[in-house]
Amino acid sequence: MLQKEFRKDDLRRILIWSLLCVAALILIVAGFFSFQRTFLRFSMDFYYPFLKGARDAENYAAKRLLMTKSRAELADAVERLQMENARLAVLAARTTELEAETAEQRGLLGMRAPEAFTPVFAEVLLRDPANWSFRFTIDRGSDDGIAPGDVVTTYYVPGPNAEPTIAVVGRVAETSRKSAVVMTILDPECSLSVRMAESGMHGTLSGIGDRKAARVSRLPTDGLYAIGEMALTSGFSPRTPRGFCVGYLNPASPGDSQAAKISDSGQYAEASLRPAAPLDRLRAVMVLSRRPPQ
Amino acid sequence: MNRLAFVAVGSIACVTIESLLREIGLATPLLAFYVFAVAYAVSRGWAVFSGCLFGASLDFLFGHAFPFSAILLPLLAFPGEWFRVRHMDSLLVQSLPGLLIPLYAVLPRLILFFSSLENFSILILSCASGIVLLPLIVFATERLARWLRLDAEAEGASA
Repeated sequence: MLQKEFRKDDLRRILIWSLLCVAALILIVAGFFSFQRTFLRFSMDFYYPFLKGARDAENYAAKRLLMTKSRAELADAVERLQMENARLAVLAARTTELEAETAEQRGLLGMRAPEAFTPVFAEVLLRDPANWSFRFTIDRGSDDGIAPGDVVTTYYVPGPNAEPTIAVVGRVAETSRKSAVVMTILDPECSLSVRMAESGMHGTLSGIGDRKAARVSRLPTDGLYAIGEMALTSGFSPRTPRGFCVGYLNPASPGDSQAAKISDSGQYAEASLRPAAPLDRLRAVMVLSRRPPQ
Repeated sequence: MNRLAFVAVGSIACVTIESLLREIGLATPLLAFYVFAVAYAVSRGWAVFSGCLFGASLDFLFGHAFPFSAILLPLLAFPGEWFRVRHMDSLLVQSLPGLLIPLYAVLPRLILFFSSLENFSILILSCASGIVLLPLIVFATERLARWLRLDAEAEGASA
């Protein structure tokens, strides 16, 4: 009789605990999704001083290491930078002149001025090895004028003797006051409108969860898409500047001479794209913000 | 209040160090080890609290779309308590959960994000670090909790 009651009590206790566990699980998941944005901002700002402190210490050590170089080496570096500055100053002057000319022509044609973007330079603060190629956190946030949806770019050198260029990394997913989460063009949640440099066709770029390639879909079926053709930002969205390199088209399948294949529906063509930016080894990025810093 | 401060300071330190380790490519689940250690040295309730709250903050920091850590880490409180009840205080015995906890905390994320086996080196590294780190964290947490009179025995005595 006693044993029977004990078993009954035991069963009831197990049942209560199971129900409590399920309720707790539901509460955690519901709470996470309901207050995600608020908690995310709080969490990111709370840990920012600790994480930024570690990054600052690293940068300080790197700067101190420069002191171990000889004076001749440092003088050479300064000279090289002065020459580079002079070259860039000439280019900037030429760009300003072209900008004024374009503004004048736009005025004559009655077209509105293009969107102006403010570059915000940021360092990569956090990266998770589990989603290394898809998301990372940077050390600039809404206080610097960054907003969700802003395009993130980086400066890179495509080859040993090639000119340095700017490539698109992805978009800002979330922001807190001091930091922001960036999703790369490989992230399935990131999408971007692109224009093919040679064929001039437009398509939609989106991540497919692959760590090396994204997919360009909704391309017109009558276009000719060469392997290695460059994809640029189309500038359709007011948040996205026009003409930045995004990546290059891969063969439709191994050994294929075409870069695009007809989609399953038969209405569009789609292609695989290799990102131009070295997404696996990013250290510094440039966010193109439309808002001035607060 | 003292227990809250003890658990919160330890958890914040673990989240910060774990984040910095992840940034250099090491997926060592320090917070998971700490949750286990809190259950072993302080109490199951505080371990669940730490795993839930600070696990969620880890998810937010890395922009995870699903609260992996907030769900998985509190459950580590149960084996942690079981180790205390069974008096499994040998370092060698404690290295076994050190091997298994990374499998439990890191593997779901790896399966979700990676399709190839090459990246399982991350998991092997975190398991290897767990064998050494978990007994050390448990030892340090227990000593500190005992010194501050916040351990499970002190809680039982005060009750």
